[in-house]
Amino acid sequence: MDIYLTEEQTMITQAVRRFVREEIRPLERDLDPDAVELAPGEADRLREIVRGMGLYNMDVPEEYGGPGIDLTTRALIAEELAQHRAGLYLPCYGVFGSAGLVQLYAGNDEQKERYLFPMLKGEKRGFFGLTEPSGGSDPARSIQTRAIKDGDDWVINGAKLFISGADKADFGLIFARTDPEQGRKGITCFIVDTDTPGFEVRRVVHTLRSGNYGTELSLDDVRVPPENVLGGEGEGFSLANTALTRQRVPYSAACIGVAVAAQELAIEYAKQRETFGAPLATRQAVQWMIVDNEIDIRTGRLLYLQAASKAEHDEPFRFEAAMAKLICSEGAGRVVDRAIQVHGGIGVTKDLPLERWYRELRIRRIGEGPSEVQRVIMARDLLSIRSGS
Amino acid sequence: MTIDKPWQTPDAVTLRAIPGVLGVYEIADADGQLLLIGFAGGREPFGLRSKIGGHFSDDEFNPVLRERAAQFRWESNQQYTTRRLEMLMRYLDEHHDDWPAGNAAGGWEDRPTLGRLRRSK
Repeated sequence: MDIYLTEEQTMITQAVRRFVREEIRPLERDLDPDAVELAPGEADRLREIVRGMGLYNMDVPEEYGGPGIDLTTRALIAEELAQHRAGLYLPCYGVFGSAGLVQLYAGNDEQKERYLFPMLKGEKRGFFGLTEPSGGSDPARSIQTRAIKDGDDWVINGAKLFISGADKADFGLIFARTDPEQGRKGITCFIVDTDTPGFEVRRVVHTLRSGNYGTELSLDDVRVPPENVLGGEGEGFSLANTALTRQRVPYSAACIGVAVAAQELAIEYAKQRETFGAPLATRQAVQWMIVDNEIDIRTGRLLYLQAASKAEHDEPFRFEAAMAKLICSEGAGRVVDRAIQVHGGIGVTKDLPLERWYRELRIRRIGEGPSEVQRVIMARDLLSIRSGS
Repeated sequence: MTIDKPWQTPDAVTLRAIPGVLGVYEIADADGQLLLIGFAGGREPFGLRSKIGGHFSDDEFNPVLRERAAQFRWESNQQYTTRRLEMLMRYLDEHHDDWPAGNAAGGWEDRPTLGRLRRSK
């Protein structure tokens, strides 16, 4: 693995770093500390700058008009994009666009026409409906939402929980059990239009992530035509896992981005703040916290770069991605915790972004598979066993 | 779900009794018609107290509130951002997508981007 960035990677990361520091951070000084959006004019202006940088919708595959960015560069960008107050869950307030629902790339031509292309053009929005009140870490067993054939149509009944964006979506991917006798093979993915009778966004689910929210959905005799089955009957589980391992790499990098920003604040404060006649930076207790922060940051970065590198060499990287996710999310949490400690009282106020990062990083240890699931993934590889066997 | 508290009339005593904490609030006219769903966030110097008090002061520039604001109620809430969005979504859902008049007459921050709750009838 080469730990030196290419000239192109250096150029791109520096451009994104400048953008975050010169365009995003100044705007945040006037926004509420838990803000989730920019003023409409600002978002449009920034989006145009991003288009000019050639990085808009950077996660869209090249064959669909995306810029064709490799995973290492994408992860390095994720680390930069996260370095502002809202950056962990709302990197640059969405002005870099998104790839939308990657599962739709597996759709047939008609499904792409009706859902994928409008989504890429920003005309339609979709959501990913997998997690249920019965659990999210083990969807193969926990999915209780049922879809039953009625004539040619499917009729779906059930509930979903912690679903982001369902209240703003035109359609969603709903994973439902179509064969209770089959485990993973008994789950099918349906494209459900949100104006279908019986589909309901029941409530907002409030969490530590105070600026964003998930929703709870109920599906009550939701009738779906057969052409809205995505990827074939029984293929839902493998679809749900599409790109999951890959997504863990930039997900990990974003945690490190926040840690880097917190470390910068801690170092700056330690140098300027004096106690008992000398700067905090001269106190060994503070020095050690700063050093431990750097160890967590660099360890995490090496691991996500290793995972990205293996992926680019078409080698199995599930183990490395799981390890990166675990180490980056937990390490970044420790970094922000120490940065707050260095700051003392001011660290827990809303004057600084540390408190928002502290809350949101706690969720990072659970989202996209909690630390325990990452350990299960690694244990399976190390011990050559399947879970439960 | 709206704030489950009785309306209060603004005077020196009731306004001073509002805590200086983060949270959400509602402003209504004398008939109890809701005019504004708002929040007091981390930039507000005295939280709910200064934010709500400001609506009943000469500094209020929102024409709807200047003319009609007569009652208030509040809820202390650390999740003030998502709580306010939830309250606004509920209101729009029950009022055919019409914003509260005070939100409609305010700035962009009074009319955040909202999702849509689809409730079974």
